[in-house]
Amino acid sequence: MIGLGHYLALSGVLFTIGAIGFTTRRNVLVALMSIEIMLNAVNLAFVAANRFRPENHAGQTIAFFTIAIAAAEAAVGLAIVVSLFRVKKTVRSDEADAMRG
Amino acid sequence: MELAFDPWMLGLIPALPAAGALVNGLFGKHLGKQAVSMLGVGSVAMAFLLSLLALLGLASGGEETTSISWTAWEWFRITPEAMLRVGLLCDHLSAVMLLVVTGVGSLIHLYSTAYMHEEDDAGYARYFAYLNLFTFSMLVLVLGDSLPVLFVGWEGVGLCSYLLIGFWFKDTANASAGKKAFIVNRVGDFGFLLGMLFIFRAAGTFDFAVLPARTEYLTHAVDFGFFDLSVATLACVCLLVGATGKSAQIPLYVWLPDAMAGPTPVSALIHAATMVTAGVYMVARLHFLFVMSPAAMALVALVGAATAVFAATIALVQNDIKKVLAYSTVSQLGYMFVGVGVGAFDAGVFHLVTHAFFKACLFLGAGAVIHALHGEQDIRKMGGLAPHLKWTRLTFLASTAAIAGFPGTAGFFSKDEILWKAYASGAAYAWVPYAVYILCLVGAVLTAFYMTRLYLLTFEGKSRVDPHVLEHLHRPAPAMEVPLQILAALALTAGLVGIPHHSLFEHWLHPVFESSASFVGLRHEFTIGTELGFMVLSVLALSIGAFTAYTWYVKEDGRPAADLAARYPRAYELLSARWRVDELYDRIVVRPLGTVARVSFELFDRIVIDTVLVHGTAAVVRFTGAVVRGIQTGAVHTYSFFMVLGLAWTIWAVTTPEAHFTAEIQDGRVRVQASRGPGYEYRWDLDGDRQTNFGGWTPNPQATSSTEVRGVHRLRLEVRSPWGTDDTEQEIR
Repeated sequence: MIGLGHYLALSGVLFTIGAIGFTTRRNVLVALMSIEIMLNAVNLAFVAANRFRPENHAGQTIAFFTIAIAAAEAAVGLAIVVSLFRVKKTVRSDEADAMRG
Repeated sequence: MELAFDPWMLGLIPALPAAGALVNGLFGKHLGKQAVSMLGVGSVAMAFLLSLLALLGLASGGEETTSISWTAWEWFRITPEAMLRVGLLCDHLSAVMLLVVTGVGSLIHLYSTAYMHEEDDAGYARYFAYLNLFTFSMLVLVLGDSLPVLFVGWEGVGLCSYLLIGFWFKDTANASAGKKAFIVNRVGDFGFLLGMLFIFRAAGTFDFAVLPARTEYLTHAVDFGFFDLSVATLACVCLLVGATGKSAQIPLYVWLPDAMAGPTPVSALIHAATMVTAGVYMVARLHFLFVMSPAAMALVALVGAATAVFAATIALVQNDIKKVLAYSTVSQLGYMFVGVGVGAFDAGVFHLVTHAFFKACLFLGAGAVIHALHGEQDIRKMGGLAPHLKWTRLTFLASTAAIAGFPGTAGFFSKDEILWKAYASGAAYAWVPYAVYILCLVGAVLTAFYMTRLYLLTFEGKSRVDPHVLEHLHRPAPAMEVPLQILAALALTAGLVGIPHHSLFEHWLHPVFESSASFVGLRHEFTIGTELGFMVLSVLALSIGAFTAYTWYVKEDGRPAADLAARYPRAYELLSARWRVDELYDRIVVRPLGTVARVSFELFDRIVIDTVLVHGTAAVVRFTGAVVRGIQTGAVHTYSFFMVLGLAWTIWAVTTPEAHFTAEIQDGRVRVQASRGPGYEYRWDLDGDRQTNFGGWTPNPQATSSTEVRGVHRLRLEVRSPWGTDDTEQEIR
C-alpha cells in the first residue's frame, strides 16, 4: 500500500535533485528547469497531503497557486535568459557577473 | 474741533513704511529711481501726517484721553492668564517720538533722494528699502504697548543699522563696521532680554498699561549671598545694559563712531531720529520702574555724565568731520541719560527731540559738504567753504549754536534744563548730583569748543581744499537744502516750547510722568535766582569753549592747538586714538574669544568632528564594505548555492526537535505543557526519580501528574522526532 510517506519521500527526492541541479549547473536554462522540478516536488507534496487529509482542499488550492507562479516565473526567467543571450551571446550564468561588488 | 483719529489708524503708521520697504525691497530694482523715491519718501511722509493726526487726536481728547491703543492680533500665550498681544499704544510720550521719527525721518529720506542719486537702480532701491525698514522698526519700538513688542522694534533697528552701516559692503571696513554695530548691540540686547524676563517673573506681565500698577511686586529683595538687591534694581540695571548698547553709552558706545561707514544720511538717521534714542525712550517709557530703584537711577545718571565728558574729550582732536559728530552724539546721548537718570524724564526726552533736529541738520550738512568735495571727510582739507555753500554753512552754524547751547536756541533750553535738574534733583547718594553736574558742565565747555572748532575749520578761515576739487564743487541739490533749512529752523526755535516754568513740553508729557513725580523731585526748593545763576554758568561754559576755539583756530590759525599737542604728545596721542578703548576691548574680549574659537576649532572641530566623526564614520563604512564586498560576487550560481544552503538550514531548524515546556501547580498537581513541533513525541519524568511517567513516549504535549507534589521537584522532558532528540529540565516548587 502506497502511503503519504512514500509520496513525501518522492517529493523530497525530486526537490533534492532540483536543488542540486540549481546549484551545480551553469547553464541558466538548466537552472530554470531545476527550479521547475523543485516547484513540482512541492506541488506533489501538497496534492498528496490533500489526498490523505481531504477535510478541506487547501493542498490542491495551493498547488494551483504554485502552478500559476511557476508559469509567471518561467515567463520572466526566459525573458531574462533571452536578454542575457542578446548581451553576452551565452547562457552561462558564470559569465553574467556585472554585479560583482 | 473733534478730530477723527480712529485707533486702527495707529496700525497704519508703522504699516506704511513696512509696505514701502516690502515693495522697494522686492520690486524696486525694476521700478526706477523715481518710483522708489516716491514710495520711500511718500510712505514716511504719510506716516508723519498720520502721526500728526494722532497727536492732535490726543490733544483734542481732553483730560481723560491719555492714550490711544489698538490691538492688531493675539501673539501667543505665556501662561493661560498672560496673553501677549501685538498691540500699539500711543500716549503723549509716544506721540512726541512718532513726530520725531517720522518728521526727521522723512526729511532724511528726502535728502537721501539727492545724496544717493549716483547709486545704480538696484543699490538705490535697496537703500530705500532698508531706510523704510529702519523707520518701521523704530515706529514699532515707540508704539509697542508691551516689552516684547518694543523688543521686536529694538531688534529691528539693530538689524537695519547692520544693513545700512554695511551698505557699501564691498569694502571690508564698512562690512566689519556693520558687524561691529550688530554684535555690540547684541551684547546690550542680552541685558535687555534679561531685564525683561526679571520683570515678567516678578510682575507676571509685560504690558505697559498693567505694569505701573504692579511695581510693588518688584520691591522684594533678591539675596546674592554677600549683598542683596531689589528685583527692580536688578531689572533696571539689566535694562540699562541694553540701553547703553542701543544708545551708545559707556561701555558699549564703541559701535557708534564706526557706524560712520554707512552713507551719511544713514548716520543722520541713526544718530538723530532713530536707534540711539531707543535707550533713552525705553528708560523714559519704564520710568515707573526706574524710580523704584534709586540706585539704578543714580547709575543711569552717572553713566550718562561720564559718557558725556568722555566722548567730548575724544571729539576734541578728531579730524574726520563725521567722527567729530559721532562722538558729539555719544556725548549728547550722555546728557539725555543724565536727564532721565535724575528723574527729569521730560527734560531727557526734550533734549532727545531738540538733539534730533540739530544733529540731523549737522549730519546732513556734513553730508552736503562731503558731497560737494567729492567724498573728502578730513576737516584739515576743508576751510573757507562759507562762500561756496551758503545754505549749508548757515544751517550748520545754526545747529552748531544749538548743540553748543547758545542762548535762545533749542539746545540751550533742553541742555540747561538737564543741567539744572542734575544739580537740583534728589538722588540716592548725596554726592551724585554734584558729580553729575560738574561732569555735565565740563562736557558743555568741551562741546562748545569742539563744535566751534568743527564749524570754523570747515567753513571759515583760509581754504585748504584741493584747488582741483574746489573747481568742480558739487552744489547741493534743492532736495538736500530744504531739509537742512527746515531742520535748522527747528534747531533754532524748538526750544520755545520748553522754556523753564512755562514749558509746554513738560505740560504735554505731564500725564505720562505724573505717577513718578512723587518719587523724584527737587532736593529742596530753590529760588529763581539760583536757577538763573546756573543758567548764567551754562552760558559761561559755552562762552569759554567757543571763545577758546575761536581764538585758537581763527585768530591764531590753529597754532595754540598744535603747540599743545606738541607739548603733551602722549595725551594728544591717547585722545586721537580714542583712549585706546577699541584696543582694550580687542585685548580683553575679541582676542580671548578668538583664542577660544581657534582652540575649539583645532580640538573639537578638527579632531572630534572632522577626524573622529566624519572620517571615522567613512573609514568604518569603507572597511565593512571591503569585507562584505567579497561575498557580492555577482555570480548567480553563488547566490543560488547560498539560497539552497539557507533553505537547508531552515528545514533543519524547523524539523530538529527542541525540548521546551511550561509547568504550573494546580490543586497540588503538576501540569505541564510542551511546545509542539512536526512529528514530535514526548516523554515525561514529573517526580524527579529518573523513571519516566505515563509509560513512555506519547504524542500528547500536555500532561498532569497523577499524585500530589510537595517541595522542590525536578521535572524532565524528552522529545523525539524522525530527525533527532532533545531534552530539558526544570525545577518547580
